[in-house]
Amino acid sequence: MTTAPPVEDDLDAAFAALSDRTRRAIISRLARGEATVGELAAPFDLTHQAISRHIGILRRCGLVRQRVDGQRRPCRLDADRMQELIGWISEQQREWESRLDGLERHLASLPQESPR
Amino acid sequence: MTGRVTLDGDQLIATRHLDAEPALVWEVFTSPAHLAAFWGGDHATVPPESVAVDLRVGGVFELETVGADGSRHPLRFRYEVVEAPTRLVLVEPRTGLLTEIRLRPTGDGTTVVVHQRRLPPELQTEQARAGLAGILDRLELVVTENRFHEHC
Repeated sequence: MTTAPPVEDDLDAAFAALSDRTRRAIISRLARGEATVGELAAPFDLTHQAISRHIGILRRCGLVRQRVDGQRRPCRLDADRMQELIGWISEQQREWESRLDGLERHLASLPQESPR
Repeated sequence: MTGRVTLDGDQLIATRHLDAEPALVWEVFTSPAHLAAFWGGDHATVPPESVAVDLRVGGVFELETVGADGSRHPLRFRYEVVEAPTRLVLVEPRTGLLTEIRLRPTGDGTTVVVHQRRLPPELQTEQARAGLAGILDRLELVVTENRFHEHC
């Protein structure tokens, strides 16, 4: 009936992007501050090209931003986007806690011997 | 009881001890009238006539929630696993969100454990290894740290 808000698809893409170990390591590194592709590639046994590809994926799902600064193209995290991911999980948790409260109340309201 | 695929590494969403035996909790989780009574929790109501349950693997579970502001949200799930009275796995085809509900007898009652996974199927194997919970812990840390470094 209703269509999914775009943010749903975006979140799926972001979660999918984070299933990769290298991309998670890039995220962890960027949490300490801006870094160029060269700086990001240093700790890995990977080419700049490979790192750029990972950055491209992280950029497309909105987790990472890249700006132009002369010859440099430093990357940084999009904190709001990260917060959205965490917010989604917390929201699910709140919803289920509330649902289980409802379940507990419902069970207490049932006659003892007959479940119906 | 053993040898099943578990969803280790998925996000633990909730766990609760209930003062009712698993058979009853199972019935409440799988009967339209019961589901309508509790699924909305504190935040929504569920019109009983909106609930449909086809309790078999591949069967559909659908319902509509009505929020405090009157907004209606149709929800549609497909049963992936139906193992009475211990395990129910639902997938929401629209989002790929997988929800596992496990019921374990404990003492006089039942412990309900809810896990979720939100990833495309092709990533599930790797995901099982990496652990979404771990990623999210890290993300939480990242965001906390990031608040000090960034200004966006």
